[in-house]
Amino acid sequence: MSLESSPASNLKAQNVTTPNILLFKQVISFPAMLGALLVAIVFISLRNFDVDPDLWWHLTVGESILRTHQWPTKDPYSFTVAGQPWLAYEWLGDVLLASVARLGGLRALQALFIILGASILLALYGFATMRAKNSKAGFLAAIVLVFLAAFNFNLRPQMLGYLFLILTLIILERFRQGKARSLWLLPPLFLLWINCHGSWEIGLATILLYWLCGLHEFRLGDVETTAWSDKERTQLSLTFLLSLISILITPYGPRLAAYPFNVASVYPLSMANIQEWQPISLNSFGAKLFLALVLGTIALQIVLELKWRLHDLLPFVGAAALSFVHARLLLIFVPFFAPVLAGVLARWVPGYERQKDRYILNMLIMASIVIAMIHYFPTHLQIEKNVAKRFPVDAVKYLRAHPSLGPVFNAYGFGGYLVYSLGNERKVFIDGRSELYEDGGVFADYLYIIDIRPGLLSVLRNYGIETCLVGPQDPLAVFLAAVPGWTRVYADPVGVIYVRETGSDGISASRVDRSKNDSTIRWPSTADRGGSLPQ
Amino acid sequence: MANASNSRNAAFNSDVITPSLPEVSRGALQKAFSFPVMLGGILVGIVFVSKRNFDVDSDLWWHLAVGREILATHRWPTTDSHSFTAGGQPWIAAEWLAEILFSTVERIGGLWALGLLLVILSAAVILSAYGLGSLCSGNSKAGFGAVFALAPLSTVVLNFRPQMFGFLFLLLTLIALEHFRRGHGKAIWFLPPLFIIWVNTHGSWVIGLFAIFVYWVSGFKTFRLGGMEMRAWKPIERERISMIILLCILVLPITPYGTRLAAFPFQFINALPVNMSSIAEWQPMPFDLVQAKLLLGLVLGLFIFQLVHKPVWRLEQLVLFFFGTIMACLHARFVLIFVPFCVPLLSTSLARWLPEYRPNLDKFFLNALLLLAMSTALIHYFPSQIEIEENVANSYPVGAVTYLRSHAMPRRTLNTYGFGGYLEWSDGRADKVFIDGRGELYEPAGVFSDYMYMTLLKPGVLEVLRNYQIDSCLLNRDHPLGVLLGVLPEWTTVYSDKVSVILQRNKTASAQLAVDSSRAAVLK
Repeated sequence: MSLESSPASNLKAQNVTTPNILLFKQVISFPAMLGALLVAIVFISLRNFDVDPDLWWHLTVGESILRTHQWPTKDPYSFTVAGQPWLAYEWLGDVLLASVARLGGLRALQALFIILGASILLALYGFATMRAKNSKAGFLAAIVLVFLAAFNFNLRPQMLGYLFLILTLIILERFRQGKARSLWLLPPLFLLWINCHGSWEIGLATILLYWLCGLHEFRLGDVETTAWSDKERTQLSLTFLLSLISILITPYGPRLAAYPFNVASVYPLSMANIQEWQPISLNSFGAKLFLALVLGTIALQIVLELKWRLHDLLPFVGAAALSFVHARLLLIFVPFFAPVLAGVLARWVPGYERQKDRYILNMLIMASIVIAMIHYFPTHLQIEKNVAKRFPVDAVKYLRAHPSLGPVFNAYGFGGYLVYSLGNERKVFIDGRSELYEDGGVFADYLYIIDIRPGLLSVLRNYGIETCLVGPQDPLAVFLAAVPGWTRVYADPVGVIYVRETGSDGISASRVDRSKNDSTIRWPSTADRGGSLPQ
Repeated sequence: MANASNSRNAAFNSDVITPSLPEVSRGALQKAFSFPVMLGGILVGIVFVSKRNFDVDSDLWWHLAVGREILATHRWPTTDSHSFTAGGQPWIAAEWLAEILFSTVERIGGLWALGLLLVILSAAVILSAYGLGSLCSGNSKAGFGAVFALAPLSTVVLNFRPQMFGFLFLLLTLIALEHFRRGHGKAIWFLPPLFIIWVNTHGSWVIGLFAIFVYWVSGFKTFRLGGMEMRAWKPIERERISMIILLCILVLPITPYGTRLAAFPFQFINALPVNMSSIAEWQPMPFDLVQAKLLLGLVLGLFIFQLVHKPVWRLEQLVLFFFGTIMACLHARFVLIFVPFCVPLLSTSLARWLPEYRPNLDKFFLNALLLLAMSTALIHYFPSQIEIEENVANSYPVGAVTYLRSHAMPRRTLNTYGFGGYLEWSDGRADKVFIDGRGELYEPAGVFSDYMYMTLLKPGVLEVLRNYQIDSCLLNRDHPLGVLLGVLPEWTTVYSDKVSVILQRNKTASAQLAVDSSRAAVLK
């Protein structure tokens, strides 16, 4: 009998290998495979680097902080509000983005985009599964909600806020289920959160709501609450207090904590004109799905008489109402609704049965997903092409080649890219930091100009504008193309540049080389516009 | 109090003792000055306050022009005769009966009479909603509360167009169906004649038919599921409602256009994507508006009510409520159907907290005084013809039309969508319009997309203007196209006021345009 086959050594070997085997089985289990499918969905939807215009100025701010080791306190990027007080409210997110860009350029940013999106969806899946105690129901809820979550999947610090909110909900739920230790993760989480994105207030409000909803035990119709034990209440109170204290630990002191409240109350123009602050437009599929989910929940409530915990009900109602009024607040509807949806789906979807799992098949599927993601991960060139389809890459080259062109009026969506690509070479008229420009009165003037209001040329003159960089379909481009005194010097499908014929520095548009650019744009034909013109 | 008690006793014994004539008169008088009637008076007062400014939809004017044309010619139009862009294209006056009514009223009393009709129609709608709410909840205070809460939404869609009749007819249909549900078999015989009027007045008859169908289907079986129940019709009821559906369908072709009016709403929905995406009332509900927030609050409030009180609803009430909510969210104009479908649920919910009306506690004299005060205020504050004309001049190009009358202007004028109807009605222009509110006419002709192209200032806008040989423009003041043309040397602003602006192509530019056009014709 060899030493290995002795009962004692067998037992020892089992003790060593069993946890490893169990862990491996968990990694290739059916629920894990479902998670991999979610990652694949995220990969497919985000692989085109379809990023928000704000990404670019976030990158620039992050890069500036990394380079100077100083946190900005006034605007360094525009000529319209230069020197006005401004804080980098999301500086930690900006630094993360800039660090990743330093490490691997646009490809690394693409990878970060997918990793962040996947983390959010996996966290959502985990949360829904935890609440429904059914991974299949959690998966289905995540699949349904991915269409809504995608509204906020744009490579900006708000993605971190999204992730932190779901993590907060997971921690609170674990605490509800008796796992008290996880609660201590919240204060450090808030320390990160306050420095990354203004959505920390939603997280803090959620903790407060959980705390309040556990003060008394009651049942009213289909709504119920369970009271915290004394120990739980103390722990939760202490965590809330520590989280509250941690939001003061920022390079700007308590000023970051005040920021979200300012945005909501002091910037009516931004609220009324920035797309993500607009009411949800029920034209899109995602928005119709949102409506169906809200009304479907009400209908199911009538028919199934679902039981609600108060700390689920209030966020659901509040988040649904806020999302109707401001589309970007779908960010909070999705995590609050995920457990509700998973709970309903769990009524009909059978739970996961470990003994029936086919680990090899799961492993094969997961391996295929990983290989496909590696294979289809976009090259640097592909990403650059995608960027050039949405941002004025070539127009920027033109501006760079013509430094004598006077101050540039730029479209709002181009500002961030100009800040990123031109840096200190040329300052912008406006970019995505609308709160800064609204304070300075520039945002109102910008709207006046792009809405083609009477006297817009005077407004342009007052700012000393000599050059305009806007989209080719923008009304301002059409206006400048028609009015005397302005000449188009550059055009491509993304951006056009118009120059005042006699510029402030004496440059004449006629002296600018136009030979390469005039024929690149294709004006839409009547057929494109869906109309027919009488002959 | 003693009098009230006596009258109540008399009512209880009415099957035994025939009341004398003075008692009948007193009963009728007390009904006329009862608390529920006074609540109705308050609702009329609310409608009056919101509608007295004659803040009418721009479509009213072309409806009046069409009605006037039918009255003058005794013919129902089959082609367009009002525009130079779609002139001669097939077009039917799908809402001709309402147009004739509007035009007749205008003939009798001008804008003042139209103002009166607007208030009367609005009051009829709001009182019908009140009646429906009171009927469903069995509580006039709850009916009043529901309609009062929904008033900000109702008044938005009470704009002076044939759709007001659609709103009214839908409420009357629901009242008839609700009476029928409660065992009053005769109530629904009123529906087929109503549908004859409806199909000739407005395309919303489809929703009325849908409501009858939902009631019919919801009575197939008796069952209960959570807070929803179905109550089966008795065999005689089922036969009767089936017969009514059949009759309502059969009367639909009774129009001057035969079956074409019945087909009109379906064509409109499927074939006009540019209208659907560009006209404000077809857009999704803008949830930043107070009215939209109210709708949202009501829907979520009913959800909370359901959670806490667990009421039981009839299937037809739920189906119609959800249908109305979805439609109103997807297209703002369908607030028109949200309101009638929400009233039954809201009033029934409110009835939980509001005590029923008790005639013996009523203070008839006080009610009479309040009603009298409201009637006096209504008469006193009813706007004069001049006030109405001033209000019209605040929204429509009255001054510009006067200018056009007194000046020989070029014939092909681009006008703003909202001005087209007024230009047709104002009678001062022998020339035809570029566009008006009849989107279903201009979209198939391609004119509507070109119009949108021009007003959104898309690339090539000046070429499109040239292709239509436009030599003058009547636009809203500060319209982007007006701002553009205003800075071009070949255009001159010849008239401007706080509402509108007229721009004219200069003579040399016009001559060049004529040369270009004739050259293009030769080449062609």
